[in-house]
Amino acid sequence: MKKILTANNLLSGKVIYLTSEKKWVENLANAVVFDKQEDSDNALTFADTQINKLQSAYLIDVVLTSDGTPMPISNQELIRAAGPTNYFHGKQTEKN
Amino acid sequence: MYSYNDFDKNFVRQRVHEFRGQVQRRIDGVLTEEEFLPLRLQNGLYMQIHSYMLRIAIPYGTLNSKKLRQLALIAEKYDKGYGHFTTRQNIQYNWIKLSDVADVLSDLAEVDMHAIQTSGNCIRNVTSDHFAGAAVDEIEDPRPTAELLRQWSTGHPEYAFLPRKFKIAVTGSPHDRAAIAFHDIGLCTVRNDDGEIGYKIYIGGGLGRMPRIGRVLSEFIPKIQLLNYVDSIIHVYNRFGRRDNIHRARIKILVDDLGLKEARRQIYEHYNSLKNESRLPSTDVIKFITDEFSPPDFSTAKEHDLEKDFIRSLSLKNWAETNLTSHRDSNHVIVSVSLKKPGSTPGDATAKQMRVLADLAEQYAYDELRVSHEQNIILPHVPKQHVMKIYNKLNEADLATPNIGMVSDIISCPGMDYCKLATARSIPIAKQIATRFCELKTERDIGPLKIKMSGCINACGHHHVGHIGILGLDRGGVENYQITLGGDGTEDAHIGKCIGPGFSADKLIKAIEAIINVYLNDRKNRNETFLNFYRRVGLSPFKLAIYGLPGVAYF
Repeated sequence: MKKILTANNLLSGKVIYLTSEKKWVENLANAVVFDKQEDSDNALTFADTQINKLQSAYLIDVVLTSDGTPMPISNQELIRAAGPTNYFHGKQTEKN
Repeated sequence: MYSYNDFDKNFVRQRVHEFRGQVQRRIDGVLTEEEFLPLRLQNGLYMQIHSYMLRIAIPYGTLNSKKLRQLALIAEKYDKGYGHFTTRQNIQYNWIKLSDVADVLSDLAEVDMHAIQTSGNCIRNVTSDHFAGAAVDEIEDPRPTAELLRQWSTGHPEYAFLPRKFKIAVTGSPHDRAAIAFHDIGLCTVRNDDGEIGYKIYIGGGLGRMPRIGRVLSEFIPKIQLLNYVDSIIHVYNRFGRRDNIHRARIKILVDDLGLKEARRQIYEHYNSLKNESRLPSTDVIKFITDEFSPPDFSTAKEHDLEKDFIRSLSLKNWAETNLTSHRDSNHVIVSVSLKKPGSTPGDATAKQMRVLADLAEQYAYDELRVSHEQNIILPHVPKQHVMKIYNKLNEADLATPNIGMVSDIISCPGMDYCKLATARSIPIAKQIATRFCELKTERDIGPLKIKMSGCINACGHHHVGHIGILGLDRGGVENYQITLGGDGTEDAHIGKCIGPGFSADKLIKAIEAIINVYLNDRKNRNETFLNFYRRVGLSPFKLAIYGLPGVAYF
């Protein structure tokens, strides 16, 4: 199963994802996708060194869309990546 | 309402100062998240799915205009311009930044508010009847009792790390509007045969994954002994409540395991050892707290015939039928302001709406407001002569929805749109149901019907006690909604029964419609409420309506 690493920004609380450059970004499309457990384990180890930047990093299962963008499988992660469905708040306001 | 003295003010300010330092140490990396977690929870700060969420205590749901305006200010200054009133009479902000939290708490302290006891394994914010001090059937205002418990429990060193959270509710009336039978301790104010006021005590009630109706521990405990009695219950729970399994850690499970008889024996063993100790509050202390809740001078209100207003405005009459309740003084009424406009998020109020409510309370209603556990706002003391003015101003602020106790007045937790624990969304479901019955225009015909909706088994939306309860679950990655019928959170407490397999979101609305149609078609008359109808006929006709005959899908 393909995975990406996510967390929340320590100060803002915003949802963030790890990129291939080991940077934390707010856009899911820029997340690095792990195919191998060794790589995702290394990413978790890296996250452990970032405790004063983020909150509770963890891996989530994704599939790739036709353009190669990772898309979370779980409903909660889909909502987390897009924003709540009752208001136009959160990440959905930040796209484009 | 209770006004903070210097001790209270200093206590809250010191907590803000202390937490500011803890936040800074977390930001500096001195504290790990694991170390910071219990500290932030003790200050009401959760990490939810999009952001931090701050839960602020509104003790026994009582507010005044100054406090509500400050909540409005916080909504605008630190959040997205709104707040969410909860089923525990608190308010939550969904988009708080860690870097702002200490400033939020500092702003709260300016108006004698805080976020203490809103999270963690402590004695939580004590809840009460939202009609306290105004209800016709009230024996005594329950809020002084709630405040006494608040003062006793805040910062109590023995009970800072209980096996699990601990919730106490108090009602001053025989009609239970505070769901006391579904709390760890429920206190019902009663009189004994000598006319003395005391409490009937329930323990081990609760919702969540193992719902229980509170069991009667004592028919009468004198007021003066209350703290010793509550102390004894929590002392036994603190010693023997399970800490090895979070799902079996509440006192309801301890009472199950011990049996009520043995639980009572252990509690009384401790209680009897405390009876003569000087830790009892003095009658002076009780009187001081009680005096803080002295009612306004109701004699200033004039006699006023509301019927004449109703002739002038049919929409006022329509609203009054559901949103006004008789007051203990004949020249006043209780106004319930619905935060459940069909299509809106249950329990949410914008900063602008909060200010309108604050203004109305200050100008017309003795500066008192309440938050109900049903996620509405109450103006408990409204002179009848001001009802028309209040209605018109509520209408201008989109707050005059005439649906209290009706099918669209749905309790709903935030569900998966915000909550980390949720297994399904609840807000969109509540919105759809309310909108659908608004379109059908059958709400008044249906009459009193409480729908309560939770997005997970933890039951923050009280689905177990909904006349129709809805529980959102995850079935193989798809949201699935289970229906229960016949729940009741009042003095006639019942836990709803599951009707059968759950429904997808789109079929759920049809199932709810089918259930309500069974009632509308088969009730004896309009005086037979949905709940009474269910109690007469049971689950079977509803099952048949929504599942059809075996092998035959009804819809």
